[in-house]
Amino acid sequence: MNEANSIRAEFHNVLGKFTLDTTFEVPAKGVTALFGPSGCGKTTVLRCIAGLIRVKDGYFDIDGEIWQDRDRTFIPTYQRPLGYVFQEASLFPHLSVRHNLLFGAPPEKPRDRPAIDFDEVVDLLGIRPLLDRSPRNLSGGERQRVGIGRALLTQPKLLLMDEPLSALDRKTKGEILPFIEELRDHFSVPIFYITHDMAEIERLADNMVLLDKGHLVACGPLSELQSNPSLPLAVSREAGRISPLVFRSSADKGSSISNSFGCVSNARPMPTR
Amino acid sequence: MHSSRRRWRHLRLWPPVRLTLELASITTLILLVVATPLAWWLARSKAMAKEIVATIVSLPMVLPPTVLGFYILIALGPDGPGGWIASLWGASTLAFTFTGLVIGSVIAALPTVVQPIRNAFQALGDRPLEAAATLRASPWQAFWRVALPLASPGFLSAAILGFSHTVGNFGVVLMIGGNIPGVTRVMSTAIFDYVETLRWGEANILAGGMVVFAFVVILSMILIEKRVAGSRV
Repeated sequence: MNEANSIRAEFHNVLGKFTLDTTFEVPAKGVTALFGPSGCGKTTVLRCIAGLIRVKDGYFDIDGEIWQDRDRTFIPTYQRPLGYVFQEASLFPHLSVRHNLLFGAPPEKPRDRPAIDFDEVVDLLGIRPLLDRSPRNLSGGERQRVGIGRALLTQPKLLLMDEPLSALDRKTKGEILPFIEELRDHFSVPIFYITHDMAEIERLADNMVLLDKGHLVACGPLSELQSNPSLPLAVSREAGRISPLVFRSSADKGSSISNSFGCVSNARPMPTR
Repeated sequence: MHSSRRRWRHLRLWPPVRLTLELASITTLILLVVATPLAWWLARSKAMAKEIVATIVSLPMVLPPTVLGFYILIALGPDGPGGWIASLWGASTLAFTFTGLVIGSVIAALPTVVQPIRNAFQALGDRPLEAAATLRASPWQAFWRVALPLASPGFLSAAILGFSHTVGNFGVVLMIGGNIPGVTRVMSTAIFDYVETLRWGEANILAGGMVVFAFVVILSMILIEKRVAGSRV
């Protein structure tokens, strides 16, 4: 069990050549970026948190509410109070934008947290003119805004975003980033945000979880990790570019990197450039 | 005199047409109910046994109708499960009855109905169902609110194929129905009968009707597929 206002995740699994071995604890507020080169297991971790993948040796709780505890507890995805924004918006093409937004909206407002209001979300994301249209006729950026709104309206306790901007061109990205900043500042929902774009992290993130080949490298407040000389963050702009040179092989295990949250296991120092 | 004879002849033609439409409608309804869970399982299960089941379901497509009809006849007869079911209401067999015809038609048309539904479910992929799960939909709700509506063109094709397969069925129907007027004589067997007794006029009307029907069926299938292809996101 974990004290209130924090999120604890532990996932250990061997799947063929890929070993997932990650334990971290972050505050249950603000934006936590999951960062690392492609294939490092960011999406796998997010899917484990959502319950879309079930690893036997896994643990997750948020504010003391346990979603998975090894084999003892496994709450199925549809019973977890989370919102998930996929890389492609994955809207339902047979429903209008309005009905997509309302698809997961509960009939009653949550009692333990402030409710997220339909009109507020629609105005914040600027999708009011789209409400009666079909998702088929939307641009990529419009679709993703609807996808974000749809996830928010499920009244989540945790919003998971898996590279929500990566399928979009630079211009559209620039249009959507302010919306995500808006929703970070406006709603009190903690967000886990996957990206391999350091610029997005600098704009959005409060905390960061750094992964490599399924292993945790470091986690903590963004400012702290950026100023840590043993981590490559100050220099790199794109995680994809630094992967083979700076990230050490997952076989080495070093001592823990200490920080204000105390990442628990498998954190290891990184050589500087 | 001439016109009244024509009317009389048309009245003689109506019972097999009506029986055919009844048989095909009931068969199609039963097929959709039976094939949907089967197709869902075949599309989504990772069990090895599913390909064995898929093969068994497809057998009626390959077997000669007489072979299929022969086994169904035995199964429906007094010593088979059909005889046991018939004994519930005091009869001794389901062979040569309308109920028997429905059962035989369902088995014969099952592969043509399962296949398009299975394809439609497979084409969905995991993502819509995962998205539904993250939006609080239980697997049951996700099926009804997402999978079924998204697969609806597959269901339309399946229904059209099942209906027309049953209308066009001859061998199985003859083996297990016995071509009894008003009970099991459907259009396809009626045509056979008219030709045997050299009544070319009646045979011509029924056969021509079937050609028009087949044309409409195939054209509508093509149009549905075109519409579906055009609407993919």
